[in-house]
Amino acid sequence: MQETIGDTTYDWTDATSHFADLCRHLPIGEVVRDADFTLFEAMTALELMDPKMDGGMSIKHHFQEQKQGNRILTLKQLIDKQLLKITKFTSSELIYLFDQLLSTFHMWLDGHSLALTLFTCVYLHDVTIIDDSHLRTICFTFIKLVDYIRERILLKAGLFEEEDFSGTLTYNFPFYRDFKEQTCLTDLKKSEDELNKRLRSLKHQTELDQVDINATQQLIYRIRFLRYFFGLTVKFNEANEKTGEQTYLNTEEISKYLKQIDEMLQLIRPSFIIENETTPTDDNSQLNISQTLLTDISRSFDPYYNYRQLPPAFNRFIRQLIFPSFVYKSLVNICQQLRKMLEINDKRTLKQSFEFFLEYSTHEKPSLFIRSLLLLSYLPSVQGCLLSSRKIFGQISFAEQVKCEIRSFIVPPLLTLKSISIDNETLSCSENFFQRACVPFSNLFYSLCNNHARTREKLSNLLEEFSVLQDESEKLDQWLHKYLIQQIVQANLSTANAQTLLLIEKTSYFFQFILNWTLLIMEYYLLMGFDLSLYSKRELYDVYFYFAQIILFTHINVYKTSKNILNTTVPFLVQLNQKQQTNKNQINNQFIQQMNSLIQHNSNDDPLAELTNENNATQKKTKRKNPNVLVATNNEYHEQELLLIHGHFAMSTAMHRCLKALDIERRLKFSSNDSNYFLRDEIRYRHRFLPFANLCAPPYMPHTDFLHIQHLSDNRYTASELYQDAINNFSQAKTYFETYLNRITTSKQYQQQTFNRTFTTGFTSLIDAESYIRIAKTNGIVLKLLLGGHKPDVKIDFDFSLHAHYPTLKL
Amino acid sequence: MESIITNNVSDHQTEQFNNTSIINHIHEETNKHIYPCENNNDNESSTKLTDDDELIAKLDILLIDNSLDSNIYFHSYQSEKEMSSIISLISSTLSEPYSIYTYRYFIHNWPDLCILCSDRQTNDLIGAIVSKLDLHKNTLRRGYIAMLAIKKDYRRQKIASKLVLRSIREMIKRGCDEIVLEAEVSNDSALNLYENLGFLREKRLYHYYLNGVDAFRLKLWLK
Repeated sequence: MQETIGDTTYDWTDATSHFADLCRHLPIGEVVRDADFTLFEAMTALELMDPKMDGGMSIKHHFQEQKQGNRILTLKQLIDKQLLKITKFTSSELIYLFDQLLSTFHMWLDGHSLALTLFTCVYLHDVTIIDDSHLRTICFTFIKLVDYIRERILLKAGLFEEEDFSGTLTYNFPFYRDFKEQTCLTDLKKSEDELNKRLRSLKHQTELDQVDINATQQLIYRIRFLRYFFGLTVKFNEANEKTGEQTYLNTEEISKYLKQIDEMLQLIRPSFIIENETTPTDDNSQLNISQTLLTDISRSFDPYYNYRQLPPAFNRFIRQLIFPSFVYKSLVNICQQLRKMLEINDKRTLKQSFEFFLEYSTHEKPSLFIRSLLLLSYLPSVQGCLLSSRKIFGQISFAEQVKCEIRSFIVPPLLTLKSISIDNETLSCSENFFQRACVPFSNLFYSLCNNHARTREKLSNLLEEFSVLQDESEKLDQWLHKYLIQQIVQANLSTANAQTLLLIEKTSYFFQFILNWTLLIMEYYLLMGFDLSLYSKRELYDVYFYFAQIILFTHINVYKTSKNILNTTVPFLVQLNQKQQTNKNQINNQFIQQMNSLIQHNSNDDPLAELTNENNATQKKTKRKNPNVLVATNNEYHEQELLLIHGHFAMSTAMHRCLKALDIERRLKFSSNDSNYFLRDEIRYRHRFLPFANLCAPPYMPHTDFLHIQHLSDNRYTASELYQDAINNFSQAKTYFETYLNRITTSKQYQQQTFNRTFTTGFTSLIDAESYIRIAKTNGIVLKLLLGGHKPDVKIDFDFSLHAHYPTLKL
Repeated sequence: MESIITNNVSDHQTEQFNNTSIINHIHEETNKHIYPCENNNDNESSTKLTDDDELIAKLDILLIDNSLDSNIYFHSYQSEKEMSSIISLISSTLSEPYSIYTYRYFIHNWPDLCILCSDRQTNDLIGAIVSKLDLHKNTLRRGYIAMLAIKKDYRRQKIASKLVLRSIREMIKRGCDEIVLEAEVSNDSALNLYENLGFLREKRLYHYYLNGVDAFRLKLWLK
C-alpha cells in the first residue's frame, strides 16, 4: 500500500490481522514493562486512533473536510496546481495577508509554537518564490522579526520557561540568515514609496475606485507600521555592525519609534472579513474586506501545514486566529508598556531599580517579550557574559553600584573618608566582598523578571545566597572596625567627638546594608504568597505574626540604625573630609577614587553631597535634579520607608491580634481543631517559613519559641483587650499610610509631573497604600462593633478582594 | 459543588516536556532540577513512629463513619478487568487525555494505592483514586495523588474525601513524608476538599494546563 505525504512516499504493510492473532494468546493484564519505561514515557505515549491523543485523527478530519486526499500540498505544489498565486496581489489581498501574519505573530509572542502560528502561512516556507515584491518584503520582515526576537532577545534574556513560551523551536524553517535586517528596512521603505506612487495614480484616474484607494492607503500605513516596529525591535540589545559588540539602550531613538508606531496604529483600521459586500455597515473603525475578493489566496494559510512536524505531545490544539482588531489593540498596549519600561533608564540606584521592577511587574503584568526587554535594557547581554558580570545599562558593574548604594544607605567610613589610605589587605578583603555581592544582586533582578509564580520560588533560593553574604559582611565589618578606628585616631582630630567615634566603632555597616536587602526580599516573598493566593485562612495568624514581629520589627530597627548613623556621623565625616584636604583634589581612598564619577552623577542620592555643597553654591545650582528622589534633606533619611514599614507593622499586628480574639470567641469560619485536619501546626509552620531558617539575621524563630512569644503577647489578653489593641493598630496603620500619601502627593515633584499612582517605595505602591487605608478603616469599624458585642453568634469571614495583602473583615 | 472534583497528572507531563528536545530518557529519581526549592529538615521528627500510629488511628476512626449508603463500598484495585471501567470513569471527568500506559504505570506499580468505590447492587464503579508513592530526590518519600474522580450522581456525599483519606492511610502505613498533587486554581471544590484535610498551596504553577490555566501544587506535610 503506497501513500505520499509531502515529498515522501511510504510503502506500508498491513499488519492488523497478524497483530490481532498474536494478541489472542496473551492473558488479560499481561504487560511487560522495562525499567526505563517511566512515568514520562507513559505520559508521552499516544494511543493511536484516539481522537484526543492521536494528532493524525484531527488531521484526517481536516482532510475529509478539505476533500483533497490524505495529503498536504506543499507551497510548490499549490503554485503548480494554480491554487495559489504569487504575483499581482491587490491591496485588499495584501492587507488580509498582513493582518493574518500579524495575528500569528501576536500568537507566537503569546507563547505558541512557530509551527502553529507564523509558519502556517505557506508563503513563509519559501519567500524567494514570491514574485510580488510587497508580499515578499512583508514575509521577509516577519521572518527576520521573529528571528531577531528569538535570537537576540528571548534567548539572550533567558527568562522563558516552558509554561511561558514554546516558540523557541525552529523546526528547520528557513530564517534567511544572510539577509540583513537593514535590507528589510530599506525594502519596506521602497515598497512604501512604490505604493504611494500607485495611490497617487489611483487618485488621478477619471473614475475613482474608492475601495482601492482606501485599501492602498491602509496598506501603506501597515507597511510603515511594520518598518517602525521592526526598527524599534532591532534597537533592543543591538549589536554593533562592525565590532559585533553590544550597543546600549537608546531611549531617545526608541521613544521616537514608539511615537511613530502609535501614529500608525491610530490610522490603521483593522481588517474584517465579511461574507458578501451587500451587507452595509456604518462601522468605520474596521476595514471590511469581502470574502469574494480573497478567493485567489484562500490557500495561503493552512493550520495543518506543519502538523506532522510537531513533537509527539498532547499540545496539539489548533488555535483559532485572533481578530485583527484585537491584535492592533494589544499592540497599542505593548507600546504603552514599552514607553513605561523606558523609565528604567532614569533609575540610578539599586533601590530605585528594584522598586521599578516590582512596580512594573505588578502593575503592567508584562509578557515574556516585555520582561525580556526590561532585563536586557537593564543588564545588556554581551556575548557569553555571566549575569553577575554584566554591567547595569552596560556601564556600571554591580560591585561599583553596591559600593555607592552602601555609601548612601549608611555612610561607612571606608567609602566616605577621602583621606584614609587603604592597605592592600583591607583593599582585597573589601573588594572581595563587593565582588561576591554581584552574584546575589544580579540574580535578584533576574528573578524579578520571571513570571510571578517563578519569581517567588527564585526569591526563596536567593535568600540562601543572601545568608552567605550576611556572613561575609559580618567578617568584613569585624576587620574594618579595628582598621578604621586606628585610621581615624591616627588622623588626630581634636573635634573628634567620643560618642560619635564610639558609634562608628560599634556599627556593623556592611551587615546592616545586607540585612536591609535580605528583609526587603523576605517581605516581598511573604507578600507574594498573598498575591498568588497561597495561604490558607488557617495560617493567616502565623504569617501576619511572623511578618510583623520578626521581619518588620527588624526592618524598623535597621532603618532607625541607618537614620541615626546618617544624622550623627555625616557632619562628622564631612568635617573630617574637609579638614584633611589640604589639596582639594587629593583623594587617598581608592574606593572613592573609583566611585567618584558615580557619586557625582548621583549627587542627589549622596548624603554627603548635601553638606559639602553648602559652601559651593554654584555647584548646587548645576546639580541635576533627579525626579525619583522626593525628599532627601537631613533628618528625613528613610522617612518614607519608615512610614510604610511602620504602617505594615501596625496593620499586620492588628491582623494577628484580631485573629486571636476571633479564635478565642470562636468566631472564625474554620476551627483550629477540625477532626479531618491532618496538618500539625508545628509542621505547617516549619515548612512555610523554611526559606528563612538559614538566615543569621533576622534569626529564625522556631515553632516552640513562636508559641512561647505568642503566649507572652496575644494569649495573655482577653478577647476585648485584643480587639481594642487591634483597633488601635488599624488606626495607627491608617495614619502612617495617610501621612505617607500626603508626603508624596504634596511633594514638589508630584505637583510638577502628575505622578502615576503606581509610584512605589520599597514594595508598596501608592495604589497599595490607598487600599490599605480603606481596609484599616473598615476593619476598625467592624472591630468596634464586635467589641460592642454586636451579633455575638455570627462568624467572621475574610475578604481579600480589596487587596491581596490584607483582608477586610466581613460580618 | 457543580464542578468536577478532579486534579490532573500533567505535572510530569509539562514539567518533563521541558527536556524532551534534548533527553529522551529521564529517570524519575534524577529529577533534581525539576523541583528546585524543596528542603527537608528532619531534625524535629524523632517521634516518627508514634506519630504515624496516631495518625493511622485517627484515620481509622474517621473512616468508620456509617452515614453512607450501605450499598456503597470501598475496595482496592484487583485486576485488569477493572481497568476499562476506571479509565472510562476518569476520562469522562478529567479534561486532559491519558494513555492506557499512564493508567497502567500507576495502577500496576501501586495497586494498593488505587482505591475504588462501587455500588454493591449495580456493581457500578462510582469513584476512583489513583496515586503513587516513591522516593523523591532519593530521600523524601513522596506520595502523589494523580487522579480522583466521582461519578456525577454520587457527588456531595463525601465519597471523594473518603477515597483521599484511604489513600492517605495507605501512604502513611508505607512511611510517607509528604503527599502532593496539582489542582486548577479555579477548581474550588477540589481545593476545598484537599485544604480541609490539611493540604496547603505550596506554590502556583503558571500556565500549567494545556488550556493555559494556572494550577496550585498542593502539599500535605506529614513530617
